[in-house]
Amino acid sequence: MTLEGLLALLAVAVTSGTPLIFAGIGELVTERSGILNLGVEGMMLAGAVMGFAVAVGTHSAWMGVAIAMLAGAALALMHAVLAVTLRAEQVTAGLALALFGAGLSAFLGKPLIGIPNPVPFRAVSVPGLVSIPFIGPVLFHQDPPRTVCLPVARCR
Amino acid sequence: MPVRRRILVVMAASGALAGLAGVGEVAGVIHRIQQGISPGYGFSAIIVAWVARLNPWAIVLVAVLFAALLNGGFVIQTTGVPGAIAHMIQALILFLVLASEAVLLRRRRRRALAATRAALPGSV
Repeated sequence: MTLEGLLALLAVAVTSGTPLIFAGIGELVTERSGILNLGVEGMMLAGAVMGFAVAVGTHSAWMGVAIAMLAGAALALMHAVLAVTLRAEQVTAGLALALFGAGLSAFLGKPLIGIPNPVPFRAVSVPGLVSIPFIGPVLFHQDPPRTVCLPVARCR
Repeated sequence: MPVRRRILVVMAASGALAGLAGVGEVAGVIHRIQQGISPGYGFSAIIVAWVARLNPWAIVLVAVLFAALLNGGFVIQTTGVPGAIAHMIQALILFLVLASEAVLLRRRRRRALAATRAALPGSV
């Protein structure tokens, strides 16, 4: 494989790896408290739909980010009530949460299908780091949520 | 007991049962190979196994009831309810089943504890 091909692969890997980084760190925090949450998929879907809906409605991408985090937290709270307060079965509660999030996002997102994002994030470069040869433009020229994912992963 | 060998045999047997589920779907229900043969049957099966408290006889009962719940979702779609709502209702039913089970278990434990305390001589 040529060097350009390898760099392109790396760029795609960073792009599609970002949701895995955030969701993985979220699950890590839960697991360290001794709770298994199999509903990450549902929380991600709810966050995606709520965030997009708010971004479309308020024309503020960061407001969308905030509401997306709140939506995920609200679903996680449902799991917490079941798993922590009531000490119910964590495996089933988590999978039920995934089912719930999928249904909720499909229901809320139906009128939003096909609408282009009015406020897409623009890619920003991290000063200095972006001029590292080869990997600099790949890792440090991203839209803001992707840029913060690396520091978040570092200071877990 | 040869632990390592036993683990391997059990996992192979478990995989064989899952494969049996797959060939049953293809050879007996759908009659062809196509995409989307399983609409999340694997995850549903995990839910079934846990709701049945890992009891093989209870799994048969819970599986049939859970399938009725899933198909009930299709039925209410024919009355104009969106399919997504059906999924949410199924999830809510699961949540409530889990919560009520947990609440009942705690109440039973508390009663058993109270009965034991009352039966003990000299207890307050």
